[in-house]
Amino acid sequence: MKQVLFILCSVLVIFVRCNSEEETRARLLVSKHILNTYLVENMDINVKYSLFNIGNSAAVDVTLNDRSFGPEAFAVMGGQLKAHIDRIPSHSNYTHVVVVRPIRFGYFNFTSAEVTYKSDIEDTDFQVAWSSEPGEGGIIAFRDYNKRFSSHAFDWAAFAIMSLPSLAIPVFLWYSSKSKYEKLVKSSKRTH
Amino acid sequence: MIGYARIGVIFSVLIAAVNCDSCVRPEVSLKPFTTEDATVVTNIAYIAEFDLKCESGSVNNLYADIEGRIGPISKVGPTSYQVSWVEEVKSAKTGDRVIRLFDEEGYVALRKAIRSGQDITSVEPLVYVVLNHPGAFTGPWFRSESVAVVVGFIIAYIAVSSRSKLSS
Repeated sequence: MKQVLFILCSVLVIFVRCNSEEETRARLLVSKHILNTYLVENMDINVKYSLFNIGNSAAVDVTLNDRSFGPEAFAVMGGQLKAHIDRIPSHSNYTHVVVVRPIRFGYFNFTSAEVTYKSDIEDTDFQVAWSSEPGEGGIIAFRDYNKRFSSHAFDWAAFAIMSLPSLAIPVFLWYSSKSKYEKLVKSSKRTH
Repeated sequence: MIGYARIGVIFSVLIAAVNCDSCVRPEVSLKPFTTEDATVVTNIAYIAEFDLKCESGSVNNLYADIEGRIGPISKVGPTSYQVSWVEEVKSAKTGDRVIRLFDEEGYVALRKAIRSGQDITSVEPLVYVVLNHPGAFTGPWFRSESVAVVVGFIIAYIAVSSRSKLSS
């Protein structure tokens, strides 16, 4: 009986120790969001990375690196795709924003960003985490977007200019005949 | 007695080392970015990339206080840092946004002020960064089709009224 109790107690102690070890380490949850309604060639794409530390210890030496936006397909307008955060305290979050512009149109697969960190200050090994994947998105050509959503002010101005002769020519003819008639009336009044 | 003197010397050396390490007369060169065309995005991005140089000493970790929100700053180069956040297009504030930057010592003072319930604005930052957002274009005020319809009606009204005047 005593032996059984001893084994049970030791199992419990091991379980508690393991559990507490788990909880004292830092754990990062990383999300990557594209904050756009439309993805358009040569227009801004807002990319937001959120790092949540759900562990009970601070995450140190955190490096966020997104290799998915290559220079052949995207131009970085604001922010950096690689960032180092020295420390993210436990139960807190960190937000990183990058604005990119696609150079080409077509379908693009938005893949995850890589995050490396130490889950404890005394750790020598780095943990590797991957962010969520926004997935595939269609980048519309700027011409198509403009056709559908632009104000078409230039088109309406062109229409006004084109329809001007059909309005202006009759008005001009009427005005010239009217002025001619008025001159005639004036001259006939003088002769009388 | 000698022991105390030694400890005193060690402490003063340590304090001097800490003081030497902290950044003196920091200079900031800012590369700002805010969204100016909000027709295809759901949020306005505020990004302040800056280079921080100290006349003497250095700074390792920086913390930012953006209107009460306190957090770490990412390092994106040997002396360059980035602070960034997003706000909804409808609620995004325009004008100057003040970012107060703190080094490790300042951050400790800030945490202390928060714990004791003091006003955090009383803690002096290492340096300020001002990010200006002039506002973003969210689309035209009037649809050009409606303007064309209104102009068409006005021309038609002028034509019809002048014709009726002539015939009468």
